[in-house]
Amino acid sequence: MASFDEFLDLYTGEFLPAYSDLVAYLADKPAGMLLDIEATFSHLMVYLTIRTDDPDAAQENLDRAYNHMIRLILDCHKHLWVVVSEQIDQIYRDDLKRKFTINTPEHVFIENYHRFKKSAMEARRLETQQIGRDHLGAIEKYRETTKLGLEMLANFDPDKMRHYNLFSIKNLLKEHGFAILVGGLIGGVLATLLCKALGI
Amino acid sequence: MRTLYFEKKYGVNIKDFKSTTEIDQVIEKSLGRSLKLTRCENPLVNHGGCVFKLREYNIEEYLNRKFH
Repeated sequence: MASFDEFLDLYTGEFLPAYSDLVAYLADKPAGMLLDIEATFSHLMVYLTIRTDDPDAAQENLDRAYNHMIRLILDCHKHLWVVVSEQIDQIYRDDLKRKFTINTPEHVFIENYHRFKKSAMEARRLETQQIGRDHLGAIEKYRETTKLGLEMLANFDPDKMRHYNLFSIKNLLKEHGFAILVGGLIGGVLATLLCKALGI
Repeated sequence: MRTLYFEKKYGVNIKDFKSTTEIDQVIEKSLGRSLKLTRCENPLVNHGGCVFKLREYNIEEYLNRKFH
């Protein structure tokens, strides 16, 4: 059974930070989150409306509001983790990006990547173990994992990435430029001859 | 810091915020646009057990179409 003060602590201590991180990082609001917000505050209003007349039903609604809030916080953390994880994967999967666009040595990045994934698996394990119970342990673990992921992304250097992209284009032109040019010229000549032959 | 990103990015203290609207306002002010609702979904996130598809409505446009 949750008390009203516990609900308030959860709202200010866990929900607002989790919500602010997610919305600030996405720079948009995930629509699905609003369903849980609606459910949470709908139960809370029932609690506030009937708490003197029907304390049992009021408590039941407060518990439901608390549980919705827990799920909402968990969703915020998981959602942010997914976004961060996708960005890290993009770097990890590309050998050259991993080598040239990160400000830490590659072996450190790889070690952190494995720590990040292991921590996420641990969070997921905690979450599934705590189904129907308090998810605060899983929430803390997801938070810890995302923190590690954001620290990894903080080492990503956009300026190096710009140079890397430029270098890739130059390299492509150097390697295949002549072939593209010759192919283009031959294609042009053949197209002209074909047009003439067909009288177009 | 209780947040991982928000406080550092916007130079604020989360303890000064009492509602999601206040948080949205800070982000919107910095972005220079309103926050949009997105349908980013992933298999890990369970939206309160809701199994129905979400539909997006533009209420203003809908009303304009109905009344004009």
